[in-house]
Amino acid sequence: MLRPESAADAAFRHEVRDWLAAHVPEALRHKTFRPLPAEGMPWYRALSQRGWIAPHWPRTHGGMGASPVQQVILMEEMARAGTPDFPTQGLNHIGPMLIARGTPAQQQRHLGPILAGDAIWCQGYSEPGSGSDLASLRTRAEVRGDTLVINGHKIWTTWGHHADWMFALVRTASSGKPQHGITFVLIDMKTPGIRRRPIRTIAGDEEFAEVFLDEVMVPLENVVGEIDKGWQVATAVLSEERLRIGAPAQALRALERLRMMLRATPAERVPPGVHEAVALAEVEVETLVAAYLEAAEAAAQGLAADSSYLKLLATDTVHRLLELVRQVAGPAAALRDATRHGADLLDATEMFLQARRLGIYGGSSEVQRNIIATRVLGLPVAGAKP
Amino acid sequence: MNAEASAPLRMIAESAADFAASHGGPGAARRVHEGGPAWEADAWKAIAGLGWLGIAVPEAAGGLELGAPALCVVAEEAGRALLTPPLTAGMAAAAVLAEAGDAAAPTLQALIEGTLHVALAQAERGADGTRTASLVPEGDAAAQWLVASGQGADFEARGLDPAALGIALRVRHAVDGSRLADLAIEPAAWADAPCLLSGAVGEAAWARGRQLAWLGDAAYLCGLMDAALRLALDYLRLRRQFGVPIGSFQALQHRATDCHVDVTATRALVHEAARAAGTARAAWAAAAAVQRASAAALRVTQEVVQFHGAIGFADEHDAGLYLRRAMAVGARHAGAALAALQGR
Repeated sequence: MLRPESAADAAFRHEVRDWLAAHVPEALRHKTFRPLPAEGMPWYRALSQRGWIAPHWPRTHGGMGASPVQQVILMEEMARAGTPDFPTQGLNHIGPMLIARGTPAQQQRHLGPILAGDAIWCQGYSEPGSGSDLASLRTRAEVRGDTLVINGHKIWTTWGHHADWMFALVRTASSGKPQHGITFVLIDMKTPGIRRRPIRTIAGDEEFAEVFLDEVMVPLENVVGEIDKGWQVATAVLSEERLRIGAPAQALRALERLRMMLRATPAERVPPGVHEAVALAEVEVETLVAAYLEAAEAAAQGLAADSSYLKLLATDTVHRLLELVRQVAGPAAALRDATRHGADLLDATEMFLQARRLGIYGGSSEVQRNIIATRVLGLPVAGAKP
Repeated sequence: MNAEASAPLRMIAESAADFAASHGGPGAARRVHEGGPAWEADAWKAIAGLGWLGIAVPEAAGGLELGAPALCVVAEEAGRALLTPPLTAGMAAAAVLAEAGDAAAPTLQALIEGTLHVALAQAERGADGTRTASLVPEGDAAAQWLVASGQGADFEARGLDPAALGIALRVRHAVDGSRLADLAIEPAAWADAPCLLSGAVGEAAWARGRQLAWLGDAAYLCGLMDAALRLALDYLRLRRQFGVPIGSFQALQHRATDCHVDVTATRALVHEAARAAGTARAAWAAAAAVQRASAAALRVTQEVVQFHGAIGFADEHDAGLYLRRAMAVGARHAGAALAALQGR
């Protein structure tokens, strides 16, 4: 971060650095893949008890209410310490949605367990026939008395096989615009009729799953917002979600990988031109941090700011850094597994493969570009009547 | 502008935008492209009248003491209007002169008042002791040159009159029609010129001035590419082919979006770098800002020409003015900024 730090921010950075040095389990440092719940959730809970699990949540709901600068400090120090990934669907998606649109009872029931690490959430949006065209989703829900009965099939559900709860979009009506007739519902994954199957990614981990719902009975009190009006709930905190998904955390992790690979590679083995490319990639990381700070600070002040481009910028930056890791690694970039080199991790493949997801999940880069072109730049929608 | 920008910065941006729109714009840039002067005494005086040339000069020395963020705000608006006077060089020169003590005070005063321009240049010393400074924007319009030579304890910056005996000025044309001057200074002429900064302290003051020039040019390029992209977006919305606006084609939408990402992200970096002026990372930040802005402006303005098709390739269209100016301004710090990023 280029921003000059206030004395309080500098003190916060030292506090974070010291605490992470003492509390991140050695076995979990510089893990590419999210540790499984048994291994990873104790770390989540430790961070929660320290009060740092939800920097972006307001204090009134148990969050840290951290400034954007403090958020970046946390990301930088966590990247440096190699802290492991943890589940974020609760913290970054359903939590803020419930804060914005949930009933007091829903907030009361769910926010605490998200913060404490007692409930893992997954997002039931995508279906086999509904990816980028999400509003075409066909998982049906029928109101019977005071329950919603759900039948359908969700897929590409991140950590669907580990989740305790799912927030899902289901179809309750099929007239009018496709966005109409969708209902937003919270589903306890222990409910009878739910079957799940993990799906292995090209990176080799079981990061996502498919979830089959067969006569799944959900109490109506688990509907967020109104029946048929779930699309408004799903898009209620879009700009907040765009900040999370466009944050520099992944790029800072990738930069750390690049630095580790450079440390372990004798200078004469680094291909010509790579040092210059590394210098330029560092500029890209600071560019992303600057863009994030600008958008997050505008949002914190309640100003309208375009944060929709951050994800494209973050994705490009991460991809660029990881391509450089492969260039520095040279022929060793062919290796499947990462290797330890002292405290460093030499990984030219795991994170590279894993990072392919960045341009796909949460709205593919192509869909992001369509949205920016028409909604931000005011270009005409293809096929629209002039 | 950054959401953090304070009220004074917003006011400066507004007055800068007004001034730049009335004194600049594609029409004015075209006159320079067609051989007119980039620097004119009247326009320089008007710029000085707004206080800009002293924007990064302490109040005690007659400046506005608003620092790098304000300098960048002005430069960004200047770039948006393709202003050709060497504004960033003038603002940076004034900041350097303000650190040069009493000997430089009259020159600083004249610069702040807009009665003259001062060129800033780094010289190379040849084997015969002749110092040469090359490719200095609008150097031929400068009544005074502040030229640096040497490093560390041997660092010196001297105030030179380009018309003095033993000094040769040569002028070349930049791709946008603006002028680039080379100065050759014989050893005797160098020895006769007053030394205004010296040693490590002087070198540090010089480096701060150079950082301001980098930040200013980076901000200028942000304004320039933003204006160029707007020109292209208007065209994409209006131009129809195959019965529809060409801006409805996804291939063009995606590339326009990539330009938007480039412009928006670069501007965020430049604003952040301006806030880092005076900190331990100031040198890296300024280098990063001008490196990214130079590359991005060239990418975006090339795309702007392409979005326009054949008319964009025609000299009569304004798209080429933005590309040419981005080529000229973006080349200024090539090499030096990259070296600074690598700690050289």
